Amino acid sequence: MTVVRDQDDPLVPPVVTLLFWMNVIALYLIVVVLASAFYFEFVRRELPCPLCLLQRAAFCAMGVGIMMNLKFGFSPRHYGVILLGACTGMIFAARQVLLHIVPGTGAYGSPVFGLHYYTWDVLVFGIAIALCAFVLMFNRQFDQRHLRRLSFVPMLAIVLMLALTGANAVATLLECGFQVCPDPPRDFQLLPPKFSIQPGQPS
Amino acid sequence: MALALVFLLYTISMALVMLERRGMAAVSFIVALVTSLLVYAHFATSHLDISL
Repeated sequence: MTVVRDQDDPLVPPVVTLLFWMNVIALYLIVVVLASAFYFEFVRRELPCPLCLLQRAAFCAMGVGIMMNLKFGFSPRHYGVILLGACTGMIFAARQVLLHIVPGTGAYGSPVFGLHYYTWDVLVFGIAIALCAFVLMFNRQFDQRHLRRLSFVPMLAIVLMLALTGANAVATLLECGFQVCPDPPRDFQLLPPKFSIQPGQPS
Repeated sequence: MALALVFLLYTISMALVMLERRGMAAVSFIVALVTSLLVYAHFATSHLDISL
């Protein structure tokens, strides 16, 4: 496979440019999902359960694949990384939906636009799997490895993704401490009681 | 703690992507993914009564 730097090649196939910006948008969407999860954790005071944290981790896994696409050019391997993240996220989210699917078993956390966080996750991971399968059909993106000099917009998405994943590592350590995460969580294990917040109660 | 480790490994993987170390980033990614599946397996089986 030949490597082409886009700034040296004015004849970049339009599909490559389109897919590049689709990857950037996907990365921004993941950033929005992770930021909204922090909003629910610290503003709405709903501590994430272990399955919720695993779903966040699956979004981070998808982010790794997208960042590889942006940094190294498109490759089926990078889409494989995205698919692995989406498939594991789908498993985690589907299990949480099934835990609450029987009437009377309650739910975890408060709903967003009528659906709970984990129900949205099933939809989002399903759409991500379908989109990856669709995008993999465009063979021309793999003919040459198109390397771009990343401009401000994609670079900002990458930096935000990196920062949010690191922040999740710190927040999870504060919540779980040096032991198995409590299920459901009651409090931050490594913070003094004055920082205490209520976990998402079954509704 | 294992969950925090998962996030840390993904952070390291992303940082390695930025440093153009794709092989090491892939290794970090796989370790993080396997760890997350092990954590899931722990929580999925911890409520089961398998003392048949």
